[in-house]
Amino acid sequence: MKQQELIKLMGPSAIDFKYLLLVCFLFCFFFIAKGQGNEKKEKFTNAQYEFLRDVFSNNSNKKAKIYFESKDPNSWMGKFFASESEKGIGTCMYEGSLLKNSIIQLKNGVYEKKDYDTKRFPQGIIPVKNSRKKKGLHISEPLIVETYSFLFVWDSSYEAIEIYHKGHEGNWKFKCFVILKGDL
Amino acid sequence: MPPPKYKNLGRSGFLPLLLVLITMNSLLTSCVQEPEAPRLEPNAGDQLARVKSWFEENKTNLRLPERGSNFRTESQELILPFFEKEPDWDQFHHYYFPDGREVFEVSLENATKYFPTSMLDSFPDRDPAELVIQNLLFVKHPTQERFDPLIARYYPDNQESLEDFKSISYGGIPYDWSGKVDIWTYDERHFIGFIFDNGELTHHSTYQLQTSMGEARIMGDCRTIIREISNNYTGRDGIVVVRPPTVVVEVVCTGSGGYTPSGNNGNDGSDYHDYERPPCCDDPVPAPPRDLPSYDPPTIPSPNTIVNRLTNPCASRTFKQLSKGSQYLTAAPNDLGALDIFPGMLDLFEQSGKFDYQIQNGIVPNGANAKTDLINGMLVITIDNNYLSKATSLSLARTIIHETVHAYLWKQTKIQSDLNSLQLLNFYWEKYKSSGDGRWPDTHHAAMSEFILGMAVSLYNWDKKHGPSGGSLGFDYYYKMAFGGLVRDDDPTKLIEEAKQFIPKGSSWAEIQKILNNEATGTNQANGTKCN
Repeated sequence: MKQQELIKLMGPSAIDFKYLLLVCFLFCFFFIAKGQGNEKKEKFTNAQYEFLRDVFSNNSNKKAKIYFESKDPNSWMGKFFASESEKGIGTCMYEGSLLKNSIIQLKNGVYEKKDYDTKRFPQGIIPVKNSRKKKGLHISEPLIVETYSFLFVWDSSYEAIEIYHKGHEGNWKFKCFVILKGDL
Repeated sequence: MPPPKYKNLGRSGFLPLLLVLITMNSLLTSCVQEPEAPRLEPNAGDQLARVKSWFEENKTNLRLPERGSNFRTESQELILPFFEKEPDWDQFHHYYFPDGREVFEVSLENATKYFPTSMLDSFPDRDPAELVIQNLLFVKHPTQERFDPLIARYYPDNQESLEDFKSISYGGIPYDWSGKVDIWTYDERHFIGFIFDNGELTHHSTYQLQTSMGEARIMGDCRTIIREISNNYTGRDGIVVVRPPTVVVEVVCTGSGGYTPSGNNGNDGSDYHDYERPPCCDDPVPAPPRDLPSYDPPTIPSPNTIVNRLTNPCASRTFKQLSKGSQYLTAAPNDLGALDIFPGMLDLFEQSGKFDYQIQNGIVPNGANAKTDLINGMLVITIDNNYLSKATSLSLARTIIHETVHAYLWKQTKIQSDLNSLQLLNFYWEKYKSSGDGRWPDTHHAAMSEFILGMAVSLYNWDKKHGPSGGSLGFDYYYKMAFGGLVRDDDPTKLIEEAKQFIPKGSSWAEIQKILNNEATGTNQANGTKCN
């Protein structure tokens, strides 16, 4: 009798517990579903991995650390395009139409953060989620347009876009840069 | 134990609601893309389109009411005949007043450009109307969607102050400009005039009620001058139309002693700044009555000289002297006068059409003498107050030159006019890849090593004409001082690698450091004299 009374007493809380479990299940289900949705994000292209390998695998200064942190390209594009004149952008001169055309394409493109496989990064690049407190060169995903690559680089006192060019021999070479922020 | 009765779960009605909310939330977050952050800053051209649209809609409400021709003499104001304004929307400046109000300054296409009679003397062989820059300022109302206009007319005083539209605006008076900026309401009432002497705002003037005829009188630091303004004009048919003159009283104020436009004490009031019309162009038109919303001329700050914001008198004076450069140089050693880089660098800012250079004094962290930053698109040099309190003027001149080279190199990354400088920056940016926080300053100081001789000549020129020793210290002394600041960011006691090759034979970095420290702290071994 006492046991029945006890069950009776526990009844509502037991029901609440089941109810809570159901809610938790639903939350988990939706989080997983959402996670799967995120996987639909664009992934790094082979050209992007190749660029990082080409530029950073021969890092002569082993002491200098290079951190990779994914950044939304839209966060720097406004300042970048503000440095453009008729003659060029940053330290780059529009000697021919190639760079200018790439910049136009960059302006018209839609860019967002991409997923990447850290195993395909060259040695020496340290992927991090928040590199704010780390000292060293910080890089983000390169945006490749035709034969030019635009790489956001920064440290605590400066931000810049480095522009690389892929020559006929197939190697990426630093060409010029656009300073976005700096202290002198 | 009997199974729980599930029907009780929904008894409260809460569960279905929760399920609906969760499902909707999930659907919304998974199906709708997050809005992209705006990639580009709002285009000034698009904003200008709003100004144009507002102007077209409201321009008939911005004119004087029809009150006949005698309103001028009755009001005692200086009011010029009205003509229809034709903005050239392709030519404009965009900037903000210090209180945050947005301003669009648009060129006026009209050939009618009133000008002071004195310009006929200053430019005897020219048509003064061709030398006047005449713009419409549209000042955005702080709360309402309206852009109240004002007219700005820029009257140069001399040949050196002739500017084109790009080179001068109310938000950017050239650093060495001399002349008068007159502000008029849209309906051609004189609002206020500002008089500049070599980039310095020295006086302002207004027109007030006439008190007595034909005399000038002094009120405190202001001087009133009676003026009779001719209203005659030549119509399109070539016939001169004679109209009653306007008698006005111009009040010219200065902080130090009297002033007249001629620069003398002005008691006779003989040197008029009367306003003339060019013999052409727009006939004055009667204006229709105003409609609502009425024209409300906006308040305005004084024109922005942009460049010189130094409040320290010695620093301000030194900057102005430096900017005059080699025009005073009579005998530079070995014909090095042409290497005086300082004024040329300032000219580059002017010629670029955007004078985004500013110098001020303030607090500079980390014990540095000065710094150069990019703030809201403006290259801002800040000279440290503590340093200013100790340094000799020679050290200060060196520091101003050094920081201006920083500004010049930075400016090059915006206008790309000096290929050599850009190549230097590219080379050293790559070289100093591993400098961490110091990458940008190390890149600059390495590139600046190529400018040591030019910086030395600028310093020598300044001392020769304005400095404490009159250029008598020997060129080597100025040359050694030009090494100041060319140090490694990670250890400011060490000279940057690229500068080492330029140290004169028989000298050393240690010796140069002593000279720099003596001048920076104004010790008794300094050759310069303390700025304060």
